[in-house]
Amino acid sequence: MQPNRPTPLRDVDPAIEAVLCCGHQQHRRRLLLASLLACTVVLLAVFGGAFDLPRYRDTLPTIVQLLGDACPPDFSRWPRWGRPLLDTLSMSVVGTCFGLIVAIPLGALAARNIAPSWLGSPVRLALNAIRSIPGLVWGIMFVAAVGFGPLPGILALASHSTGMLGKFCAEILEHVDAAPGNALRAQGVSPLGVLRFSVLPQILPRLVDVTLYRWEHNLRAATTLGVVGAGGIGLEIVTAFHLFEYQEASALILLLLGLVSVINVLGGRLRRHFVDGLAQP
Amino acid sequence: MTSLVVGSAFISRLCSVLSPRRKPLLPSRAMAADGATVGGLCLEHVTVQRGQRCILTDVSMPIREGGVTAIVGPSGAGKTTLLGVLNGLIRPTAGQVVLNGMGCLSSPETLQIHRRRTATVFQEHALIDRISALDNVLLGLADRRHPLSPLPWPAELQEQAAAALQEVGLLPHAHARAANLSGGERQRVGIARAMVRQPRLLLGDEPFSALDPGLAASLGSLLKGYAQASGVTVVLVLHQLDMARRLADRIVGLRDGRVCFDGPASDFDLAVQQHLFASTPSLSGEPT
Ligand SMILES: Nc1ncnc2c1ncn2[C@@H]1O[C@H](COP(=O)(O)OP(=O)(O)OP(=O)(O)O)[C@@H](O)[C@H]1O
Ligand SMILES: [Mg+2]
Repeated sequence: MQPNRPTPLRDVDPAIEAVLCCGHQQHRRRLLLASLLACTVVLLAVFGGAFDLPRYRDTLPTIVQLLGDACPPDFSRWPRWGRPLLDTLSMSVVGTCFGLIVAIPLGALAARNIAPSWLGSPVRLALNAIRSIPGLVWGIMFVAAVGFGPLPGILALASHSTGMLGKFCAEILEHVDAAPGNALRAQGVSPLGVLRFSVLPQILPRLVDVTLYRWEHNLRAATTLGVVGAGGIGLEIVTAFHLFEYQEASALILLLLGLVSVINVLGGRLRRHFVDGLAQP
Repeated sequence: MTSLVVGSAFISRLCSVLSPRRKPLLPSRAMAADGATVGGLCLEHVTVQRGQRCILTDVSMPIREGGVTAIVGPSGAGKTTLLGVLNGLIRPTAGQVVLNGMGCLSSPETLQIHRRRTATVFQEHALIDRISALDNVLLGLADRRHPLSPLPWPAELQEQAAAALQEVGLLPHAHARAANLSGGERQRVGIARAMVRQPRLLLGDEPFSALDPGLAASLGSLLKGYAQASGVTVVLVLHQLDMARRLADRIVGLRDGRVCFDGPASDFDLAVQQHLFASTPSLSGEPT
């Protein structure tokens, strides 16, 4: 008698019992899988030194001291920040858009319900490869290829975004409800019409959604790209740190925080417009 | 009361549809002038196979122009599949669907002509959840508009769609998202999307299943009146047998993918009914 199987109070139909038994087995299998996963995480944490307690001794004082050095933020050099700020903004916006433009057709080719597998598998593989190269590596590559400035930043963000957005795009397309499209086909609408009248309205809100998230992400990524020579506000922050000007660095970080917040609000507006675009009755 | 109002609105609209000042909208009417029979079609030995399983087996039936045919049968009998064959979404594994005087649906040209004058009310409604009821009804007119046109829907089409919504009593919900509508309201949006096409062949897959009896009856008589007045061929899958008897002039009983009754509604008596639905596994799993 299995301990976790409830004792039947009355005679249970063997067919029902078979179904339930299958469910119990599935449950046990899931439990086993979950505990295996948890063990793996703990082991990896030990390996990474997360439980090496002596190393935490100086953590708090150091952080407090750094924070103390960074206060109050020093905004005195703000007139010099306009250009880097604009650089960062342009990198994130243009990088996201270029990435999206390439990602949509690639995503369509990668979607399992659209392209045949001989075409879909290599495209999916390519998207995975593009995605698994870190943004910084793309940055270094493009700085070497086209020189310093926002341009390598744009190309790096576009490349990495293509990998990510292409995958999302494929997933969104795979989740399109085929029924309205079939209804259109049944009334003689061309494939182009099905794309326009059924697929587009279904994917547009989610596409806007992931693109906005990606834009936010790219704004932060554009900052780190400054480190490898793509300019922008990231370069200013790194320079300030190198010169031990923690107060200026904290001011720059606050500025970045402000920018990200503004974009969050703006993105939220856009998202509401597209995702909940219709008036509720 | 509401249904009466809805009904009378629909009748008045019908009259406007039928009045001579209205330009013919569908190619079928032009073809009728050429003398070809319109609307009638015929299934010949249609078999649909999925994997090893035959969902429809050797189904043959003529569908007379201007008649109301009801398809009844137990769940899983293949009724939805049969409608799919009729609107060309499902290709028969064997056999064919012949359009009177125009050849067989397997030819792309015939299929296109057939589809342009056909409208289907789907069992699962097939609406786009994110867009409004009105926009969903407009999809019924999608073939009247170029797919790449950046312009909004032409005012004339919008008017037609709004009028169709009014017919099913949903004008107040025109701008509600389809996702926020009730089951019966969604179903009526599906009916409006089919009606707005002014089809010559109207296929309905349990089009009244989610409606209350009053509304179902009034929309049912509406369809019947429509068919009688304008000679539209109607094929309805119905679960409510009394409704099938009342609306249809012909009933086709389908069971396990085979036609086991095909005759005038008056012949569909209790004995036939019991034979058709006999030993359908009841929910408790015990034989009844
Ligand atoms: N694409 C498919 N692949 C495999 N089997 C299918 C497919 N479509 C339908 N079937 C099977 O064919 C049978 C008939 O399906 P169909 O949808 O035509 O039934 P129905 O008569 O409309 O039933 P209901 O009254 O419940 O709607 C069902 O048993 C179903 O499981
Ligand atoms: Mg069905």
